Amino acid sequence: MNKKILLLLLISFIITVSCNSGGDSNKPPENIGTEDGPIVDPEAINKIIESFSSPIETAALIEDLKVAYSNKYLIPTEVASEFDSNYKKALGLGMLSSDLGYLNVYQRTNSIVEYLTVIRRLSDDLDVDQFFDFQTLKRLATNNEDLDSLMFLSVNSYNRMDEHLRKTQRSDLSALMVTGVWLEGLYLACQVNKQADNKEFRDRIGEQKNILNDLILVLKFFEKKPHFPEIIASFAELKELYDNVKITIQVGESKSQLDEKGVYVIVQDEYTVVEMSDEQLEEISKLVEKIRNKLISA
Amino acid sequence: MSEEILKALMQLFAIIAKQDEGVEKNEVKYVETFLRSQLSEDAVEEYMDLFTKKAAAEERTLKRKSQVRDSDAKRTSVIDSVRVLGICKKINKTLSQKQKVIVLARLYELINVDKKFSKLRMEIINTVAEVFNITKSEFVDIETFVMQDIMRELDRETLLVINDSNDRGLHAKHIKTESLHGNIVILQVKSAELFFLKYTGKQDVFLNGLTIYNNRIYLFAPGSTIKLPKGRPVYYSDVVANYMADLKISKLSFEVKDLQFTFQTGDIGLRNINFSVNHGKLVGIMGASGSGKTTMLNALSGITAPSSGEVLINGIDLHRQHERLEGVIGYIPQDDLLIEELTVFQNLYYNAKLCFKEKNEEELVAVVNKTLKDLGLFDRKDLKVGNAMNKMISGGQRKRLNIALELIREPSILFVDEPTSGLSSRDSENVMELLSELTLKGKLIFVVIHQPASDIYKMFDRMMILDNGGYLIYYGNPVEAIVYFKTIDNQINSEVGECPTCGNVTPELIFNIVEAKVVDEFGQYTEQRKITPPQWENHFKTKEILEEVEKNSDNPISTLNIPGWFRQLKIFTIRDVLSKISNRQYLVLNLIESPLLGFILAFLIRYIADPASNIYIFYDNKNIPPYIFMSIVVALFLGLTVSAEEIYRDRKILKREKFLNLSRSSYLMSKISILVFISAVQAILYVLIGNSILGIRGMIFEYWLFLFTTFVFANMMGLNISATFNSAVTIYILIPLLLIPQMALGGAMFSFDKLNRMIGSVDKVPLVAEFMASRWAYEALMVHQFKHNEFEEVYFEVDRLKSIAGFKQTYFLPQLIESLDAIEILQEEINEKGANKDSIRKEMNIEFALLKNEMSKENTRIIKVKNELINRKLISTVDDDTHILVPPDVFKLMNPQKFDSEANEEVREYIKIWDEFYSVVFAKADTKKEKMKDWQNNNEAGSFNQRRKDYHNENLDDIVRNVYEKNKILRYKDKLIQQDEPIFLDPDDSDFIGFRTHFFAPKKYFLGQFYETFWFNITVIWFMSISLYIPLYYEHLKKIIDMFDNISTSLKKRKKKKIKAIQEVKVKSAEEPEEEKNDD
Repeated sequence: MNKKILLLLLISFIITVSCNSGGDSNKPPENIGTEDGPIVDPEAINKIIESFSSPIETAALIEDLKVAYSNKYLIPTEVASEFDSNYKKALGLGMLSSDLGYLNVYQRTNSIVEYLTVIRRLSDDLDVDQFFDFQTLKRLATNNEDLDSLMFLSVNSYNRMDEHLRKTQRSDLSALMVTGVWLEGLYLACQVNKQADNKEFRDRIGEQKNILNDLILVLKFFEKKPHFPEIIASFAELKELYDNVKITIQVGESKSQLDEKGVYVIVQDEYTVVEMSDEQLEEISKLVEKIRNKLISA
Repeated sequence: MSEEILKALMQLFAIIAKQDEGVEKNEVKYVETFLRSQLSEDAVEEYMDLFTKKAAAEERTLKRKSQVRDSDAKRTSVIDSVRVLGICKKINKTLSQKQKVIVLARLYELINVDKKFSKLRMEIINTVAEVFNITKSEFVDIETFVMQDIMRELDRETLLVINDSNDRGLHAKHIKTESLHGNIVILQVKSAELFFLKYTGKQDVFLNGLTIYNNRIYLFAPGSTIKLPKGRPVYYSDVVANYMADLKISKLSFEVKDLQFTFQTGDIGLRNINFSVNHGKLVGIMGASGSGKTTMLNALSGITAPSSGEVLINGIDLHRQHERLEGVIGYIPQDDLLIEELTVFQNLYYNAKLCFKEKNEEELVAVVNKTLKDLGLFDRKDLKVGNAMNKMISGGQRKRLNIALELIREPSILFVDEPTSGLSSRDSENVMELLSELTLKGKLIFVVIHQPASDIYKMFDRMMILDNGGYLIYYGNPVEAIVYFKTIDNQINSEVGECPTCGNVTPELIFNIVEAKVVDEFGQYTEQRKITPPQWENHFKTKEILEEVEKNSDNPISTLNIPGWFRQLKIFTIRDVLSKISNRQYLVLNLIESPLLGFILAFLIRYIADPASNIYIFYDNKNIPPYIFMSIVVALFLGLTVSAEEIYRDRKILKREKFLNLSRSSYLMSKISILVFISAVQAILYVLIGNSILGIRGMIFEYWLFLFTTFVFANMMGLNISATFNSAVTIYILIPLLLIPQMALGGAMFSFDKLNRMIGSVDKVPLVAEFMASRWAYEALMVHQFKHNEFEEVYFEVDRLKSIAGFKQTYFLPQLIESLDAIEILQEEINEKGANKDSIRKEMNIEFALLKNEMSKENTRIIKVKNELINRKLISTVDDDTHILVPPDVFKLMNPQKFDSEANEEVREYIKIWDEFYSVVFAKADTKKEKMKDWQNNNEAGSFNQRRKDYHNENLDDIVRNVYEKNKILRYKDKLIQQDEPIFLDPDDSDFIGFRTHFFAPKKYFLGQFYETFWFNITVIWFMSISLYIPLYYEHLKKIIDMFDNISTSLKKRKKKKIKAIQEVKVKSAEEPEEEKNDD
């Protein structure tokens, strides 16, 4: 009886081992090419990118509005952890940074940790995690202390990641990250604006017209890279909508005031006047949502 | 004698006595004396009554019938015969052959009283003999012995005559003595192994101190002595030796000369032992406990070497020419040598197999069966031996089986340590009879015996009595020993050795005399002995008449023919496997334990990260690294416990097998191979269950191989401790001591770079941890699981390039810049202040050393990376290497004197070039990875993520990449140590034989070559396991422990001596005044 058991074990062992050695059909060939279009000189786009907003800005606006929190606006973390290509990851990293800003406004500590975890994983995959002091961020978030420094730290790490990407000849990823931040920010702004219509907010959405133009400019640097043409196309569509939005800059009256050094200076305020109808806003909102959802879906 | 037998005997007596002229007075008297020797006074009367009644009845019928007709006499005899037949058949059922022979002899004796050998009487005796199955020749022997007195008539082979004449018959044996009237005749009844004795003369001859009556027949029992009026007494053994002269026996002389034994502690175990003895003797060794009996036995048998003196067997020195005496000596220790799980037959069979290589299967079985039959164990042969708690066979049977182990090969000299301890008196007697029978075959047997019963005591041919401190105070005939000591003690009846009525001796008496204490004036016994051991020794020396032994110079016959190494291995293995298989609990537990543990462990930690989901994702299970580590711990634990008792349990058997000169390596190899097999099975069961529950795919073989290797390592460790320590408790106490360091230094529980600085090492695994199998196993499995899972396997090389570039750009190069900055600042400080130059210069030198060291290293590394890129066709253009290499003259500048701001700038320039180069490396590798991902995803949508979920593990990834480490780079002296992503860091290849690396190195470097961590580590563990064989074979550990023991005991001893010396001084000083008084 014992012999039989041993024999059986032996056979099953051989089977498992031999099954192990079965080949895997889905292994990329070793000689896969690395030619990836022209390398873009980072200097050219650095300047443009640096002028873009950071994830905190939309958040700061929302904070003033005092509308109710809704987690429906956020990208579900499950979705985010499914991002596989660097393209998606960079985009996602930007978008989640905006979501993190939103969460921060409402001090949703638990969710913050959850989003931080995903962000860390994404940044790790992109090899920019060295700028992301996850331990400290997590501590700040869980202790519910000093959310401002949390915000500061995350913005800071965001900036450094972005910088590092550009430095290591990955400006495309940097551009995507920035795109992600902007798009998610705009999306959140549109959603929040639906909740509570606000003049200032509308203006802000309208003002994005200029930024969108710059963004398209940047993205066009990489139009030979995969996925970029699609984004550019979507943004071009959005641009068409924005083309109907009129933005004029008016110069206000000049007045004198004391500066920090106690010296009188003459200051002249500039006003941006945004002309955008409700229909226009709604169309923009819809398209933004569409683009955003398309990007985060698989 | 039972009532029934006695009654039967009385009837037989009566029938015989009444024949012819009826019962004579002499006959009645004979019956009476016979009964007196058997029974108490009252009973004698009762049986006498029975006899006379029966006899009277018989006579009446006889008279009546003789009156009628003469022809009736014939009928009467027929009737008598039928009655005799009936009685004898009854006797047949109850009496042993020995007893039957005695009955027959008694019947003869009865007739012999009046020498009335009528036809009728003889016929009846014939009938009795026939029914008793006594052979014709033996029947004639008995007849001759009883009826004949003259030498001429007594000339038969079975007879021995002791007289003073030189006339010896053709056949009969003869012992010549000084003047003696008449003959002493001895008869051997071979089938019953009995001797009878009678004396035909008129002098006073004593048997065991009792007078022998003329023409009476006595049983000449083992140990008996015949005291003659003149000359040396005749001992039982002398008689037996004469009979044995015909047998083919190897002649032996055993001489011990000035044997002395000193313990390592300095105590003397044996002093100046001298004696000699021939073959065919049963020699007892007696003495109070601690007098050196076992020491004596060990020294005589060659187990321990004496400090001085020699033991000569046929002139061959036992201790110096041991190999010539191989197989001559057998040793039966007091302990059990049986393998509990095997049957009686198997125990003996495998033992026999190891002793006789020339015998084939049939012969072996025959020999074993014969031995079992001889020892009365044949009907028990299929019973398991069992142990003291779970008894299957009786204590006596165990003892006999133990003796059988040695007996089966019939060594010429046998040493037996306390064969009767713990046995019932019946069993003791059986065992001793067995041994004394062996001496009849010419064996020389030494037996250490403790408080023997009278009968046993008398079985010995020689008795050796030792006194405290290893003094030999008596050697000679055992019964005479009693006389000897009684005489010295001036006791009454000192010349009588045994009780005149019952024949009993009291060996305790000897010790009472030897150890008698002095009585003080209050009648209390003091501690002081009347006669001290040295005094006893002197007594003996003055009296000692050492018997001369026949010197013999033949080569003693060796009965041992041990099989070769492989045959032994096979026998050992089969024996062990059989014993393991027969232990059902052991078998089942061993088979179930590991899969059960695998199940429990894997089941407990099958963690699903997402609370909303029910789908298990391997990638998200945080517990994979702990699982790997726990698996290793399980392997160590199981491997250790399964082996920890293996050798310990066999230690007694081993001692004996060493005696047989069986190969230790063969034995060990059999143990190891069985354990290796068990380990392989346990490991595969564990891995099959554990890995499949946890969804570790495609790694069964690798996990199995490593766990198996770890099991074997633990087995070897266990065998070592089991060969070292002498109690199961010590062994089990020791297990944590062996396991916990393995756990603590395995690399999983405590990070190697965060250990106590005394043992820690900055850039390598700490030295102590290198000795831990757990660390090698854990590292290998972690690295392999990371590197070679189906997912990462594809990306590992690009990930590695990315990691190298990333580390250089983010940590390494900035650190160099920092160093350059520091130099700049320090130089400024020198220029400005000038003061405190030395300390600043010192600081600066450190910076330079770092720059020099790391930059020159980077010079070689960067070329390697470049070549790799070219090999992988990641960069096509092969431009000049000098472009990225820092030239030697720049290094020359790196000292406080020459390093100006220009040089500083130059170096910075090179660092910038490196930085750019690594940017390219990163981008290339990264792009390649992206392409590969796309390729996979295009092939099968989402397959990148899916594969990662299935094959990769996040937590394991974090650990081997050391993501939680804050200090990704460490400055230590003139080195920059990478702490980041050790899994991607190839080890330093500057040291040719230095195989040590940082933890989780993807490769190992040794002797100029890189090896996969997996295979390198497995080799290391196997190397460790094999190395452990050396101390196992030579018992190094045991020797070390013994050494410590000795040191501590000798220290204690010295302390004692000191205390004693102090006390003596005190006593002296106390005595001195008294002396003064006496002087007064």
